[in-house]
Amino acid sequence: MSGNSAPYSGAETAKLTTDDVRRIAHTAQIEITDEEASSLQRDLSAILVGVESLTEFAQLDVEASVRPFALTNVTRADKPMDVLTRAEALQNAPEVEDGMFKVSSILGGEH
Amino acid sequence: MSEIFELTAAELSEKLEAKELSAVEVTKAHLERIANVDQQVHAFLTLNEEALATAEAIDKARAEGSHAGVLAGVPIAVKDVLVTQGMPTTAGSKILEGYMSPFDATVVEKIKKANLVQLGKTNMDEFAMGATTETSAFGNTYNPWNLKTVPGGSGGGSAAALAAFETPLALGSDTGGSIRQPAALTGTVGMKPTYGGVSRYGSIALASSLDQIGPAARTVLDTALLHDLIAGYDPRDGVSINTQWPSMADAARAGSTGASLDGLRVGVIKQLDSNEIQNGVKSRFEETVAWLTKNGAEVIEVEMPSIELAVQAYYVILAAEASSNLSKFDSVRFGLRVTPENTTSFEDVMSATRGAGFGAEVKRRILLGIHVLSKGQYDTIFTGAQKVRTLVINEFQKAFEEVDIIASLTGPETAWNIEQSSDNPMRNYLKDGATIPANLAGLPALSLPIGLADEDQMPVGLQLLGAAKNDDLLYKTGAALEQMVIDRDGSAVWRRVPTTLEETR
Amino acid sequence: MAKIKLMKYEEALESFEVVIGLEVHVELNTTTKMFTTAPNAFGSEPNTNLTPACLGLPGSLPVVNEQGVEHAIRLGLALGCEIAELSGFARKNYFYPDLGKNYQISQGDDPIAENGSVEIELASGRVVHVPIERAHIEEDAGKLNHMGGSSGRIHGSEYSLVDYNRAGVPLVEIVTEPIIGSAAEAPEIAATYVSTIRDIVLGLDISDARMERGNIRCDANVSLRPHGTEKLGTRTETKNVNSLRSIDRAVRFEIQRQAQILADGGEIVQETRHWHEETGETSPGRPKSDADDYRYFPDPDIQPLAPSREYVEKLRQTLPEHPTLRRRRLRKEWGFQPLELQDVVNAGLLDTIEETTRIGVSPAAARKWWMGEIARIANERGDEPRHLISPEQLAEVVTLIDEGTLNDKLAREVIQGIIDGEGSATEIIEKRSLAIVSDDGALIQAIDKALEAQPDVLDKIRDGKVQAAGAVIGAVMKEMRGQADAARVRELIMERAKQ
Repeated sequence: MSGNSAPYSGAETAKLTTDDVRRIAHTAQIEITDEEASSLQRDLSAILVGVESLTEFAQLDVEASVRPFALTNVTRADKPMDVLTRAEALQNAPEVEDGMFKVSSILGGEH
Repeated sequence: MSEIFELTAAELSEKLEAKELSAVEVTKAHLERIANVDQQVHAFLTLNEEALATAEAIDKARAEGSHAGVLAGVPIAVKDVLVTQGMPTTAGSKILEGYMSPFDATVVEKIKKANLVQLGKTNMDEFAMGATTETSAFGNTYNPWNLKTVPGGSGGGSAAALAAFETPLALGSDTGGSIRQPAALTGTVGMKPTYGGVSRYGSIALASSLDQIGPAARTVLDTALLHDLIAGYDPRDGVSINTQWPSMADAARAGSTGASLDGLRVGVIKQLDSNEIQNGVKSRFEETVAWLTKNGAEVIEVEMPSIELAVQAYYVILAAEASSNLSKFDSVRFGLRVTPENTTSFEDVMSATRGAGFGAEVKRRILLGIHVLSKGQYDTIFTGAQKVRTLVINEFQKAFEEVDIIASLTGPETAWNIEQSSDNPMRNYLKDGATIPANLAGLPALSLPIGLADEDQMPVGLQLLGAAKNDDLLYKTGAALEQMVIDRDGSAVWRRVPTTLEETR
Repeated sequence: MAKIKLMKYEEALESFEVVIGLEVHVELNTTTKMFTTAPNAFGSEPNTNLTPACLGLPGSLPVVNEQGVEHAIRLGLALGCEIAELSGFARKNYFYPDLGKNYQISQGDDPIAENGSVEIELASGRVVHVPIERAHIEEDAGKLNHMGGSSGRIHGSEYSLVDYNRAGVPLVEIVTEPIIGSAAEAPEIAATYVSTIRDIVLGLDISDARMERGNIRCDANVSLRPHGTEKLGTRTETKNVNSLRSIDRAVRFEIQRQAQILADGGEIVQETRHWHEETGETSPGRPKSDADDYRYFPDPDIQPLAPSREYVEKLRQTLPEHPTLRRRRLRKEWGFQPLELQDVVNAGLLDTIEETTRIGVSPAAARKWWMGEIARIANERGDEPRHLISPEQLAEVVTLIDEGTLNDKLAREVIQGIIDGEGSATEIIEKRSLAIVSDDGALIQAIDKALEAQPDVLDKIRDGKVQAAGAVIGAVMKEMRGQADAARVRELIMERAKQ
């Protein structure tokens, strides 16, 4: 979960370059135009400058809150419920073949 | 007598129960009102074609003597962030245009079971990211008080529909103020319940640790009636609180019928006072505080130094969670698919789809979220945000040892003009400074109108914030303040909406 | 694929020290999936075991399956791990079409079980303690079918079809510490470790543990370092090696491949590799890169687990005997050869046979019937032996054999009758008139008849050619349709010869 490497040049100053933005957009699987890349560069840099003071609190000796209240052991019984029919499962699919969701060939290797 | 569509849910309920009105008459009146004014307001994205059939069935059941429920036959609008069978659910995004959910959100299931009549789905900022409803992929919603201004957001559709008398009740979702801020800007009432008090199941997630579903209406009592109906433990939501809630409606009734405010300790947050608050807004707030003091409450200034950082922490946490929650929109199982020319790969289709399907604000926040969760940023920005969240939670805990309730303005200004929002994204977020802390700390918070600003005659909202699970105290105090406004001004704020909404059809 | 150069195995071991690490994924046999209420079932029609959460449908939410947690805790205890007082769930974010949400719910930095050790026994009898780093809960992904192109591979395929039935099936991932000093035994240690994990989960009854169905999947990490050096070498991770034999072969292959590269002055690339059963080789998959930043963060939808110590101790009481120790004990008690016991384990009949011996049946007889006739019928019917007949029912049959009421042939018929639901052994014997004829009168009659046809037999016996009796016994058994006690028939013939 943690790591010290800094893949983006924004590590030192809060600002990002348009190349950083393109790389992040690629990770986000969002195609952006050059115009978007420059407006996102401007906006995200402004936001990152705006939230920069948070970094001063990262070392603070308090819990990092994930949620407002701590509940624990919220579990359910091992019983089937809310099962979809196949028609329901597929009803919103852009493309279907043989009862399965059809996608174009996958570039990324197997996970 | 008022028009049917001007009646409150409580009044409708009585008349339906007494058979002075039928559910069909009530539904027709609201559908007609929608037909007459929604071209100007544009609160609704979809209308429920089954509304009249549902109303007929309710009337029939009532005629046969079955007890239909307190709000049976009362119409309701549903924010398009909640999934519904039979009506499309889009969350205001092109990427979900036409999406038909195979299941109902828990709160939708509850209103169906209680025999309310769904009128339709209301407009919202795309995936609830925004404070004006301008980021909706399906056009703006206009504030019925002044059609040139925004109704707030993200739940601007639900709030505008209430203010324009298109519906007496509405459901919303509140991640940083999306129920309360539109309520404030439209002179209506909106409640963000305690985190886990109302099921999130079936609400299209924006930021899971902040999202809370809640009720909205024109009056505190109506809001409470709807709250009672939708609250409660849901095994389908892992953060749902398993507890017995007191009746919010009883609390509201007690407040409006002169329950004493003697000894109520009301906190006012020092750090929320600012020179940037609009004058007329500030005066209404000061009057309200004075009235509270005069009526036996003890007003105490509380220090919340971390509240200034809360907006930053909120923004980072929201972006991080949203970037992950919105990954599911990938063109495989549902939603838009854009197949670019000359490409054959899944990845190209996915990123073209996400590029075309998401609006600018959504892209901005997803990219921010990806960035703050990445190596090198997580340990600094994201962890810092989570720790500031802890500080905010702790400061509230401390504050609620000294006070019973915290009063603030819901926002620093009245509704502003469409397309007049600042270009600086951070500046806009700062307008949510009063509403955001409740989401970070999971606390209940109610916004209700306390009058109009002198300079523009637009509504001003007050926020009451309580300790966790003290939702009922907000309704009680809120109802007392609502009565104070009626006694002072001679009528409730929502009754003074200008009649610029000529029925133009 | 160019032929990969390999160093001879022995030579590789002379030059390098082998370090292996194993990541084993175990699919749990809960009724429903780990974070949603969809059925956890194998072999269903595509996309029929789904809830909204399996598909990441808008508005869906995860809720933790209590049975999955219990299974994971019991497994952690069986691996000798400490059970965390507080553990949580995290999202592992990456885009891949077999994930309904485009993130996998896993446990990030907060595993439910840590710091264990598993005892395994090699063929030589040497006992090895494999150190366990952690075991954590996560969810499985769906299945991709790559269409067009050759042999269903992702490369060269035209498109893919996704079946999400497996998406969300509970997994426990067990990660070992690096196993150092295994030398020539590394491949065997890897395979034996996985087979021991299989026995453990079978003993706990928390997984179907069928490797051919992917219930247990193994990723094998291998690295080499020159003898006497401290620093661990660069490792490769060979993914989804899914049979015990393949694990042995894949580890052996990687040792030889890496040794050759290092000896040639090359560098090992840190990468995942794929195992090819047909060629017995591994091939490169994705190199590890910055893109492997999964942006883990705690899942806000799922509350942490904080199992009480009482609960954990209660579960500890339900743990079966460690399979390695149990086998050692049973081998001794039953007098079986290691291979005989292995056959029993592989057939999944260890518990059943032990249960049968506990109600008085001899180990040899229990093994003979369960592994023989009953397994045969079960196999024909595609069912489990244990579903067809109970140890008590079998024990009654064996008692009747021991008393001389049944012989093996009749016993097979009785077992068939029991399986077909015709009643108890005694009832079936009665109904089908199957019991051995013990009435000497009837036997003598049959012997007389046989002797008439073979009059010289008695003389031969008197001359000392005792084996001549065999022909008469055969004739009598035929006459009696098998329902005679052959030993008694022999006695009666001998008596007659003495007269």
